[in-house]
Amino acid sequence: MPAEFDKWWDDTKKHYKRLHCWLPHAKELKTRVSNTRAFRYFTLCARSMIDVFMLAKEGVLIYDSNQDAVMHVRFCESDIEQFPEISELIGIENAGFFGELEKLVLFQDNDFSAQYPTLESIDDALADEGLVIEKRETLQTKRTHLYAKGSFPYDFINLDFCGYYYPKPPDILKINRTVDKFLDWQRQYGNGEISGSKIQVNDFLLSVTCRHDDDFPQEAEKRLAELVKANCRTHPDYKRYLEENRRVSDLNAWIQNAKEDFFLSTWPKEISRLAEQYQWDMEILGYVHYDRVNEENQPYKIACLVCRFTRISDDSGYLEAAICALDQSRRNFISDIGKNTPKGQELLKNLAGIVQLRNQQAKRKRRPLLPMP
Amino acid sequence: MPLNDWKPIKLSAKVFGHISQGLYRTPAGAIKELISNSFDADASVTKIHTGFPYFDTFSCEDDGRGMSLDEFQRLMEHGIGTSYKRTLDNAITEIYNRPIIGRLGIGILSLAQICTQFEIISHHKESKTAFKATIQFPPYTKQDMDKILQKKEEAEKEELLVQGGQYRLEKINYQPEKAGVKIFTKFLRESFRKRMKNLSNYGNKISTEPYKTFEKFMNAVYGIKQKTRSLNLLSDYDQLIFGLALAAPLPYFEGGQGNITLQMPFLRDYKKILTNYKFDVEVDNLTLARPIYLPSNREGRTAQVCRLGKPSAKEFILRDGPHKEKTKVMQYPINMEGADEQFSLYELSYFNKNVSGRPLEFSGYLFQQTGRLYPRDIQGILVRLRNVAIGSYDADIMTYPYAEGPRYSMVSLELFVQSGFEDALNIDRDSFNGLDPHYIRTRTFVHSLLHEVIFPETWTEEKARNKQRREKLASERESSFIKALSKTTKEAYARIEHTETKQRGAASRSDLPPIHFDRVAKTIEIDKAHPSIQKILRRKKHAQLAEQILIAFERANREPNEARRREVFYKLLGDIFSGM
Repeated sequence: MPAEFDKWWDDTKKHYKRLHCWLPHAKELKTRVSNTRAFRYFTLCARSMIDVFMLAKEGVLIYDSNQDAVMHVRFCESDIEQFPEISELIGIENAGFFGELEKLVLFQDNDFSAQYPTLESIDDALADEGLVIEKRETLQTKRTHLYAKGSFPYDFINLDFCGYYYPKPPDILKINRTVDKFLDWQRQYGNGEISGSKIQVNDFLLSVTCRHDDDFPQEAEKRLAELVKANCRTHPDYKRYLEENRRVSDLNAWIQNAKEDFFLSTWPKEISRLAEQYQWDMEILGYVHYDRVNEENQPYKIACLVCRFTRISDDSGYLEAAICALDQSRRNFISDIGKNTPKGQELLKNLAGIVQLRNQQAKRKRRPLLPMP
Repeated sequence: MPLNDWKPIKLSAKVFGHISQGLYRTPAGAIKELISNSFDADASVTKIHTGFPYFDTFSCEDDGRGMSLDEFQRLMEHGIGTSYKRTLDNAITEIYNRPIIGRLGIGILSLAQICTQFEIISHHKESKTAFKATIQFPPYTKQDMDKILQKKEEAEKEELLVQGGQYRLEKINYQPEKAGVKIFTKFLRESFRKRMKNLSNYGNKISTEPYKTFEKFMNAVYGIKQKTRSLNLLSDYDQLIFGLALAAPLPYFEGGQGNITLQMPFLRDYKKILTNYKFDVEVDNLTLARPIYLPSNREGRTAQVCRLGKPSAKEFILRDGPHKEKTKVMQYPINMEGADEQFSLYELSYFNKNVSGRPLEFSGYLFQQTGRLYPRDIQGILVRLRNVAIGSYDADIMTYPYAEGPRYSMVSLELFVQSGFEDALNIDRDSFNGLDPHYIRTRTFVHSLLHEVIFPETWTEEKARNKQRREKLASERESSFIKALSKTTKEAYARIEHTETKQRGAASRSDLPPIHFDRVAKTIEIDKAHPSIQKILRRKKHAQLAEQILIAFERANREPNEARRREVFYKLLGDIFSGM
């Protein structure tokens, strides 16, 4: 297998997540959207692109056989080798935003770039060949930032991060701030596929996948503890649920004795807080987690949260989501699924169908094929 | 006593900037270099992505042999332009036996035309080495350089004046499945982006969608309706695709309206050679092919209704200064179903083992049709060296010295150079040195062929055809006039006869009117030499019109009263002018 394909693309647990956690909700939303327009999808798909071809195979995304293209998909990628390949397999030249997602989304003007508020002014400024490389990069990042922002809203935003939701300091909140931006941008009217028409989404899906292990930064731990405390102060129902249902009376003891449960119970609150801020009603549709072992044989956990956001009618969503995250029974632990077990075989069979579709496209475009799982 | 020993002459960065950014006349001319590099590296495909329609990234990848770390370092450290890729004129590649195009190793420099910085990743099959490098060109244009120099401290000036850019190199692990070269940049020059982003004339304004097939692109190019029918009427992006498709060593496009030249045995063989190179170029998911439709489709006259006739030899004398040479071409008449027009196709070949001490050999074809070829960009001559187009079609046909009027626009030539011409190529590999003996000999061949064979034949044919057309038109006008005259006067006439008055037995011409209406014979006789009308009918161009007005006058004059005379005359005048 070419070394470049992401290591876990054919992992049965990962595919279980795709199939049972992402797909049903995407299909359900698609049926509601399809009367008015095409389904719009944003992904961090990497070159295996299983999620894209799964949605295409299931008819959630439109595959246009005239131009061999999966329509209305946008992705972000910073690898210069993978970027053209993913674009090509999608079949739409401007499907990608080149760069690191957080860097593009969280772009902030400095005094220099602030002078160029529009795409036209940026292009004009970049026409100055004498512009030093740092300034040039700043303006180019701003340009991609504006393009990315302009591409919103989407029906399904799939943020399958490879890393932590809270990366190591100094900037533990950069992912959270990225999600913050997305929830903000989702409120805007976007450009539709028919020239002149504007798109607004009233509900959409967001999936966030991240890892958790013992390297969880203390700063993040402290932040989440403070959020729990604040919740307990302002929401008696939350406090009651925590004490009665989860039997947590000592927050520090909870953190010390059940770090993993503490993380899984609390980080979704970050997203629900943001939702509240942008007046989205958040509902957790699926919450799965599973174990992995890294190359140094150290265990870590993958957590995936799938939420539906609806334009707010009342503000009950925040508390419901926060309590839902506390509820262990609402979390689905995906235990090991052996490839040779009936369940594993079933998942691999499904995955094989997706790989086949993906490889047909890769063959047409003369790109490396994924091996059959 | 000499003042010093030999010392290297330094190249100013300003000059470097000038050469690299102003080397190629079009973006296609620059990007073509990358395609040539891939071709030379035995790649099966070159994939180019322009980031249409934003054009904020550009990538070019191939699956060829790759560039070795050593080769890259040598180019960077010993100087761009020191490639040893091709030392022999007839060098070929190892896998597909392709004639090697590159010689100087300046392909990388071509990127300076479109970007200020790029990254290159190469996995080299033979040496099993791989590297990743970032190359930064001097960021200045000719004008900017002076501005920058003014801002810089004196100490830095010296450095700027010798630096041709900078690079950063990283050795990476070789992976056989990644063999080839990948180039990527997000640092595109705004001058390039601006041109590409102006899509107001994209796709002949038929669609704003990316081309789904190459045929759709061809439809846009060959569907230009404006009078000049030039590619300049399309977007720069369209011109880029056309330029690359034309320049690259690719087989001809065989769909759509078709190309009659491909029926020629010589081009069928040439097509096989191109196909055996097994080389594809994709630009933004579009697989390119040589974008030629011949003939140009006028009133359904496409290659599908053309048939090549039997060839015959045409001889002519090639005069190159004191050198005189009898040479020949093969002419294939092209018959067209349902039309009396005849186009021609000529097979050209030339070999001389000693043109200024070196052999010169080329072959090619010349297509000639009645009526202009379009788009205008396929009129004239295109020279291919090792199957790569040098520049674009030269509508001036190597500065053809004679005035031939519109006949220029009716010929399209492609010349394939088999040997020679190496020193005729300018450094941009996009144009020729007009003083090179091989260039001069080829030009002489083409000019002699055009002047002695093609244009005289076209001229004679055109004259005959025009005469035929004029006669047909005159006959149609006459019958329409007679019909109108008969209807208005209620007298049946069948034809106009040109006769002399004396044949009607008169003593003197001036005794009788110049026009005689014979209702029995159903003829109108007109004496063109009659003194009263001779002057009126003298100008051939207006003779028929004048004649009809005279007939109308004479016939109206025969009416009994003034009112009726006026009525008939005006009515007939109306018929004459409405039938024009």
